[in-house]
Amino acid sequence: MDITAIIAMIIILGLIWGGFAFALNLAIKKEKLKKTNIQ
Amino acid sequence: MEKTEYFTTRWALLLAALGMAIGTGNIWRFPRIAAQNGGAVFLIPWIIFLFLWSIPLLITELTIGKSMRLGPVGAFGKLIGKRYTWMGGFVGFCTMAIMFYYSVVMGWCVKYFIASLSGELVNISGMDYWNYFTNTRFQPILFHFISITIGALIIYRGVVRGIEKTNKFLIPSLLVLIIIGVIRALTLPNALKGLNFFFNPEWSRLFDHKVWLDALTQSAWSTGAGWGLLLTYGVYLKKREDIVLNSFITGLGNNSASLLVGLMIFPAVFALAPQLGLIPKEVLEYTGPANTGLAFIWIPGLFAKFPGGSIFTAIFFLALSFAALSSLLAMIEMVTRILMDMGVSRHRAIIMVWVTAFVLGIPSAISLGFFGNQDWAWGVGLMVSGFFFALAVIIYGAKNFREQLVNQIGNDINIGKWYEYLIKYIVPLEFIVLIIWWFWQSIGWSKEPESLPWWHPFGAGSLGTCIFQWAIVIILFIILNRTISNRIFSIEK
Repeated sequence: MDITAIIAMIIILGLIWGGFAFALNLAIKKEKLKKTNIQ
Repeated sequence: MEKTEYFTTRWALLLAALGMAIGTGNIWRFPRIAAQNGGAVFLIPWIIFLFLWSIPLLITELTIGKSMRLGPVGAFGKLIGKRYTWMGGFVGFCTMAIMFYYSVVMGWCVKYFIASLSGELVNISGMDYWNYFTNTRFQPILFHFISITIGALIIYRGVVRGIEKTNKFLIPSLLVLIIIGVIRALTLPNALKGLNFFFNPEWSRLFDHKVWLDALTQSAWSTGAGWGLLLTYGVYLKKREDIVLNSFITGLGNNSASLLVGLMIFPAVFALAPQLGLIPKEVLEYTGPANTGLAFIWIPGLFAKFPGGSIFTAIFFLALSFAALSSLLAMIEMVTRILMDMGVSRHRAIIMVWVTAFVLGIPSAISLGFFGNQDWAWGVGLMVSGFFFALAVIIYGAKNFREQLVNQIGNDINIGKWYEYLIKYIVPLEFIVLIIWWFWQSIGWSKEPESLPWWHPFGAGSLGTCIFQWAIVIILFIILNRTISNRIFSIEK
């Protein structure tokens, strides 16, 4: 694979998959927090 | 009035929303559009439009659904006044028209899944099998019937027992199937050539307007922004449920799935196409009849070229069927919700939707020309639907909409003023640029093989057919505006 393609792959997958994982993780934390507050 | 059901947990809502967004477009449309538009260069505007078109509209839809507690038709009237109910009517009709032929597409996927298991796809060229299947006429109708019946039966069970439970199974299963495909594709010889093609940017295409417009349309169609589907799921959101973060997860999750599919399709095509004497780039870019190219014409032949290929083909078509079903469910629910808002009981509404969708899907099942026409007219119509959502927020007042309806108690994150700028200026600007380009393009270039003029109302892929069909629907809903809104709001009282 070309170095440009490798860099592009890391940036694109990092941005979208990373963004998705970050948002999902935030939602998990918020849900845990809500459960703790209810208890 | 019937008691409204609610999604039991946030995760149930998210799986349903992801199911709505992730459809056949992620699996067979995305790789083709990306290949035609310069690989990684296409991904740049595609990511930009996720944030400038799709996510703001997803936030808008979820907010309207949760606040108004009505399907698209009633929600528009309740939000901005009864006289605008027709706008919701157009949004609802547009998605309903797509539902008619989407069930046909799911039928093709189910048929190919069964055919790949029974070995029918072996020793026959993709085009020959496709022609045999579509020329029987009876089979596309039968599988369309099976698909719409499965969808209607699931919706009949309700939001929790139907939509929630099914998506809890479909989405994780879909993910597993795609990951199996990715692993198999990446372990084939020459797989890296495919990744190289996918991620190597053709920088010369960066300022090609077609790349940007294809990126916008792909983002809009793929995320489901402007369809009225997330609005419908918003109706079943609990009062203290988040809007903003859930919309981000839906948009990002959809694009993540598209990239994952790219990691399966590009390496597989680059590894297998040369064995059939084909050029990988041409295989990826081939549109084929009714855009079926890659999935229905090439995949069966390509996957047959390695050991265990028929199992891999079956996995591919099962994934396509699951993706199609999870989106079809959202469409059936939306039309059912509209009828329920007009006073029809849920079960009666589903029967009405089931029968209507089957009957009105038959022309698409037996004629690829009609299928192509509907895909063209209502696919592009989604741009108008998205614009109507932005217009609704502008009429309501973007500031009030953000402060009073979006940023409510229960949100995990609230949105700032950027949302107002996007929905007031950027989304309408994107729509206007797209429409002007499209008009200009269509006048100069017709998709008609028989060279019918661009304005011809009955041309299969003309500008005229879109304007003709949209105008009929808009005029019809404007005429019926008072009757429909009076009925919905008298029942709501």
